Amino acid sequence: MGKIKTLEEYLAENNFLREAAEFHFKLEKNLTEVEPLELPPREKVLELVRAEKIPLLQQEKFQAQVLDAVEKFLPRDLAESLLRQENLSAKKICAAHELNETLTRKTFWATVDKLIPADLKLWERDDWQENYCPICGRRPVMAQLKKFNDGRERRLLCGGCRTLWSWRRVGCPYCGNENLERIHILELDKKMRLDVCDECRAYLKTYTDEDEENIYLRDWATLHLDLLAEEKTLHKCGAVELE
Amino acid sequence: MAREMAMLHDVARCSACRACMVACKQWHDLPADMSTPFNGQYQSHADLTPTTWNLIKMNERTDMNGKFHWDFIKFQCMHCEKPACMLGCPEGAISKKESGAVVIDESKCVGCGYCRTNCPFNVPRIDSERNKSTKCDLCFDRIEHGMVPSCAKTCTAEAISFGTKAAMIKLAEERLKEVRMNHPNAQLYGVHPNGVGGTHMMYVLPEPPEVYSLPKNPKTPDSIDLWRDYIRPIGKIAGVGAAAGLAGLMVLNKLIGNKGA
Amino acid sequence: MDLSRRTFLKATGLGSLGLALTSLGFDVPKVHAAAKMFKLTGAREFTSVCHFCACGCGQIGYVKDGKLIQLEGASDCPVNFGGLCPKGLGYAQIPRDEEHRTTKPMYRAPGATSWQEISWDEAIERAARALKKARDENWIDTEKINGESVKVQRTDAIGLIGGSQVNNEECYQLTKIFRTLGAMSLDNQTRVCHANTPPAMSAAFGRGAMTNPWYDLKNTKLAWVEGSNIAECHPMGLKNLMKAKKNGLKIMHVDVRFTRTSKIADYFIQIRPGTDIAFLGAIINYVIQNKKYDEQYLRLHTNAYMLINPAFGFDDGIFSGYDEKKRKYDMTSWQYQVDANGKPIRSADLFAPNTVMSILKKHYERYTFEVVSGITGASVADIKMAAEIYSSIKPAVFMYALGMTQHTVGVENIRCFTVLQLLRGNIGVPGGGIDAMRGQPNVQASTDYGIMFQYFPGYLPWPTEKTNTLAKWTQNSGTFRAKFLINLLKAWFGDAATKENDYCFGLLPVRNTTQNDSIYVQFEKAIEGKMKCIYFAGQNPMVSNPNLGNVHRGLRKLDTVIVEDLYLNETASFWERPDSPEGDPIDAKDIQTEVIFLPACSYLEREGTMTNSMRMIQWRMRGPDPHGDSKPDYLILDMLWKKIRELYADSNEPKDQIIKLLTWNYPQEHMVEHIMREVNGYDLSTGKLLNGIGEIKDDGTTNSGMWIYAGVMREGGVHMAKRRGQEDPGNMGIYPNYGWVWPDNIHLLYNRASCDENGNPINPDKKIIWWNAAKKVWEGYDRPDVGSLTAAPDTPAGQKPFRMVGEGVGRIFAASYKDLENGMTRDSSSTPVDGPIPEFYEPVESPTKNALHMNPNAQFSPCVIYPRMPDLQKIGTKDEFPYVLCSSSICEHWCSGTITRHITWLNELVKEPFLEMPKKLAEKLGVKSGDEVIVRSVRGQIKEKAMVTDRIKPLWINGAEVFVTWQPYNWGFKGLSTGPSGNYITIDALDPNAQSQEFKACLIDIKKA
Repeated sequence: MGKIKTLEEYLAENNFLREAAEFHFKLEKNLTEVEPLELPPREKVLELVRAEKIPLLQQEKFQAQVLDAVEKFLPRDLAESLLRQENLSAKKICAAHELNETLTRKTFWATVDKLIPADLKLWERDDWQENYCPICGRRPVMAQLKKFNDGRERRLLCGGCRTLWSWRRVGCPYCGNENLERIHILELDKKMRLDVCDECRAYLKTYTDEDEENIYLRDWATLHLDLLAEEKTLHKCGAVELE
Repeated sequence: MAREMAMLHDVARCSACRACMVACKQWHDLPADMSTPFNGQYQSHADLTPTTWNLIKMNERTDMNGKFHWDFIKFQCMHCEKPACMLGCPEGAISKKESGAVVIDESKCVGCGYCRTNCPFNVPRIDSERNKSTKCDLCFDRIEHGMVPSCAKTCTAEAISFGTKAAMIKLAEERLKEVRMNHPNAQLYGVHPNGVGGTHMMYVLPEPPEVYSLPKNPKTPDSIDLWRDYIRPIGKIAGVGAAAGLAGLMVLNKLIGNKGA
Repeated sequence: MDLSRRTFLKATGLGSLGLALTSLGFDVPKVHAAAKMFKLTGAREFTSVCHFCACGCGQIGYVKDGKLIQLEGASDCPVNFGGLCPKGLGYAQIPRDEEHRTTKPMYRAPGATSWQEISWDEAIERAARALKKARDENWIDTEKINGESVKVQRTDAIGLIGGSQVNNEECYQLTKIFRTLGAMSLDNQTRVCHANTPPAMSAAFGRGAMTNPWYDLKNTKLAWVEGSNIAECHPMGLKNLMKAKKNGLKIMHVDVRFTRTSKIADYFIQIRPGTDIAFLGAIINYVIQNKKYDEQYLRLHTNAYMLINPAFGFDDGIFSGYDEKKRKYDMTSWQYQVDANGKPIRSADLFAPNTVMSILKKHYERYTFEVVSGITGASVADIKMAAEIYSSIKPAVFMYALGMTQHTVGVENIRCFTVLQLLRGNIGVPGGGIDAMRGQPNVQASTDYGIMFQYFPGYLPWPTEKTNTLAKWTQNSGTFRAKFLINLLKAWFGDAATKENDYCFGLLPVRNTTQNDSIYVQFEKAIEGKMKCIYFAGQNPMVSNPNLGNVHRGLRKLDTVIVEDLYLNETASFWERPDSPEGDPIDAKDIQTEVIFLPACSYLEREGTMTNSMRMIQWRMRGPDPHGDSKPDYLILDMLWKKIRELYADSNEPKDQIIKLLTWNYPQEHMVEHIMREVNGYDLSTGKLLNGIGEIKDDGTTNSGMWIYAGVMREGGVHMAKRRGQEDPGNMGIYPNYGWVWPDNIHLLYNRASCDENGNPINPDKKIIWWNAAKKVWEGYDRPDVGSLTAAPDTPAGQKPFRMVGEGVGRIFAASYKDLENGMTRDSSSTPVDGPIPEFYEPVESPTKNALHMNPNAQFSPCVIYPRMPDLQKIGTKDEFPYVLCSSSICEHWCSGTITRHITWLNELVKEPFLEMPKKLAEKLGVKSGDEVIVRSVRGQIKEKAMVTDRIKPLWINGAEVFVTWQPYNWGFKGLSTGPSGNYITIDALDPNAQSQEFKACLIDIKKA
């Protein structure tokens, strides 16, 4: 068994990611003063979210909390359209304010990530079983296979608020295709693979190991895979840069 | 991962299905060992072997009241808090991880056998072909990746638990209360500091340890420090070259072994 | 703002990541260039189901370049949630076991001493010709039965053995092929395993299967494990039990020796093998005497209050209506007193004369604790304790396996469970039920699909000389079932099957009920020279049948043996066995049987569905490619049938017409799904698949190969068995969207019985279905087990929790009853041939006299016919064979060991077979643990090592000391671990209902070697 790699060691091996790394480190640095929101305890949040399967931040009261928190640096209408994933609207408003859309998206969601307390970011199998994030409602951007009994269970990761939740072991989370004969795998190595749905041509980047989450559950750290996938005309879903 | 971990064997629950023995062999790629012939017993191996690091012992017993018992216990390295094997190893090949796992570094091991002699539980086994000492390593590599040891993962009777030492102690104490209802002599083993400082392999025993061939008062021998600081260096210096040194160590080991017996 | 949960999920995100990152100022071309250094290689995941016991644990495998890289438990399968036992994990070695699997077709010529490799074409041709020859040269057109000449259109020269090791679609193919060839001797592993379960459960409830799902165990408070070693043989069942232990579950274990199951149980009681009816009879007596029965349940859901014909009687071991010569009962006196409409009359008083309850009370009065202690060897205190525990804890579930079925009284053994559970109201409720734990991965299906001499697929009785026209058949079995038969015939014969020709009923071979066509008799008929060619599909009788001497004698008299399997096992290689424990040595050169070996691939290497013990149908994907030249069984059978059909293409003989008419339209691609669609059935007017049993019509406008699976395939390419839904509504352990459960996805059978007469749950905390008065419909967490979802509780249709029996209620007394509608039989309830209520009889080889009967005809069951071949089937007596032998399996090895004895880690744990014996007996014989002993019965002898133990105590039986011994049967002369086959010693006396053998009790002598 190999020893656990640090992010630094990984970047040293993969120099071409340096740029992306710098960007993200800078972004994180700028957000160190953002405090998590005051939200109800976990039990209560579970209840609220499971009642009608509406994610926390799509419920009026909590959505308002987020919008209030970011008011200082983003126009409210822009923040609202980003949070509600109304892409056309967000695009228009960015253009109107002459803001770089991608940068705006990244900043906004990185902030949301900070606003959500850590204990609301890990959901077990019995808590939530939908194909969208229980906190903000985004589609997942990648997945992880984690040991469970004599097999592995699958966790989906939200690209926005970085919530992890448990989902079906088998199937495409984007279109619902459950037929493994219509899903093929492109394997990079023992740690990363792409689960490709032949029905909708989306792919799910999947970390197939554990304990190097600090590297492999960062979407940008395997940027090269997304470019390879794009070459094959596969669709990336759940990316903060795009939706 | 700087957390102290422990494994708990709930002996009352064990059904001796031996899935844990197969799982251990699968994970460590250990071949089948047919060295113990079948002589009318269920227990597959008379004892631990260089390729059998986890053994389910099975023993039939009739108590003073005439009641029949079939005792099962999972036997492997106890991962002592104060490991006698580590203290006695002349090559410094044995280390204790943060998790509590006591692990032999094969690259440093010369197969001298001190660890076996010193171990109050008689666990390490020398592989005479490769000249290496072997024993359960608590799947320390799995632990460091956030996984659970192979045996614990596969148990079909929910008898093996694994987690932080604090959580396992809590579990052990809860189970002790339940087991005591049918077994008044039930006790915990390895949970509290004892002659080896407590162990990271802990048990909820329905009966006293002797029933399961566990030493009642295991102790890390005091005389280890003598060996390490006095006898061992002599052994090393006495030899000319590594082979001679090794032979010297083995002779000393035999002497010491006889003395301790 | 009205936010529905979908409005925020409308991201389309079809932009380019590359462009987005460029806008951020990244040097994307640099990343691109670097990316080209990384290689993405193709791989696949596939899901399957484990191939050992019938728990049906889900698995996920990982394949690269056609090879299996990894096999693990499927974390989302509700049976095992990712867990696997060591056998399930060990199977991963099999596809990579290049050395020992035979992956090319092989041929052994008559008299040859070795195998030769042949091509697939040659192998199929030889097999087809052998079957044709046996058929044509041994065709029986008419037969004289009971003095009458009957057209039977049959051959007794062809046999089929196997089915539980192949998938559902392959079972269906096998049935079609061999029935069309005119064979009656069809049998599968169920015969030696759980054949006694369906007659027992059907007699009481109407369906012959495990009633509650595996994961329902979390709802139970008392698990009564009898005749099972669940810790060793059904580990996933044990896992569910251990979880329930955390909620206060108690486990009672009743068995012939202290096993690993006993060790984890809360209570253990040792009884003599074959005395379960006595033991459970004492508990029935206790429940009645102490009024521990559930009166409301008895009144609403059972026949307890119904009146029986006053002519019914029982005396000294014999029920009324016995014919001593034929050893059969006339069941007329076992009928109800009926009203003008032919419906049973109920009394208002539970114990009025002639009510079922009063008969029950009188019958079991003899089963006092003292008498039963003498019979079983258990102490009076223990029996009393068991009775008290059973009567005080609810809900309770009975879990059993072959310790209950493998007896000449196997059906009545299980009937005791049905009686007790109906008395206590434990059927149709969460945490209750009777869990028949089947042992083979797909034996539920091989039974469902009728690879049994007496049945069509779907448990419809095969035509006999008494029911050899559709009209007679319908009169006997009812219009309800005739509907399903018509649909099967439409599926088998297509347009050729019309109302006018009785849907080709007249083409079918007819069974002669005066003869026994079971697996054992196939070998007996071979010895007599009547059986010529047997096809073995994944079964190994040369290890797993009792009285192996007869199996070998039979095999070597056959013209042809055809084996479809992964390995050259003991059956395929019978001609080169190294010894002859039955005392009948013979040289390979003198064995003229030709053997054709058709190499099948493993379950991981092909697709199809299989059905686990709780009736759940799950899909198996293909993982790695078939090894070597091995082929999927469905392709082998397809090639075989097409060749047979080709050989008959030019025939105009009437007997060959059926072969030409049989439908066989399965394209090569997705063959198994085409087969399953035929099984599911179609509406012929629209061409659409049927959605459920309710859509099956009796007028020839629908077809269905097997009615109980109707609904498993849907329009739009939907295969219900592929579903993996995770929902457990109500947290009751019902996963309605995972796979598909027959019938109609009802998981907990008879769940109507969990409600009262108004359709309200009797136990609201554990409700599972209910009547919704507002919507006027039955609904719940499980599909309600009712005939019509809209039939209100106060209508007759809404009051039938046991709607698959004629009366519609649970049958404590299995009366002989046909439910009439407009003068026609609508449905008939089934009655075991050896009694409407259980009675204790000794095993055929017994160390003692029957304590309940003086009658010499009633020592062992008066319906058992043994010996069938007096020269080769003697009955051992205690003078020569003073000790009792019980045989079963062991945790580390499985069945005939063909697979597990090729896995080194399992061989390491248990290296060879052995004989367990009590310490006192060992002292008497001068034997120590590890000494070799000669174990001998009247049938043969073997040598094995002794294991001296305290886990089997000597018993006091009717005043004398009796020693019980035990051996595992899983060994043979092939494989990595070889050893003597225990079944050379065991007895092939059979239960008269389903012909299951009495593995669990015979007499032996032991001498130190």
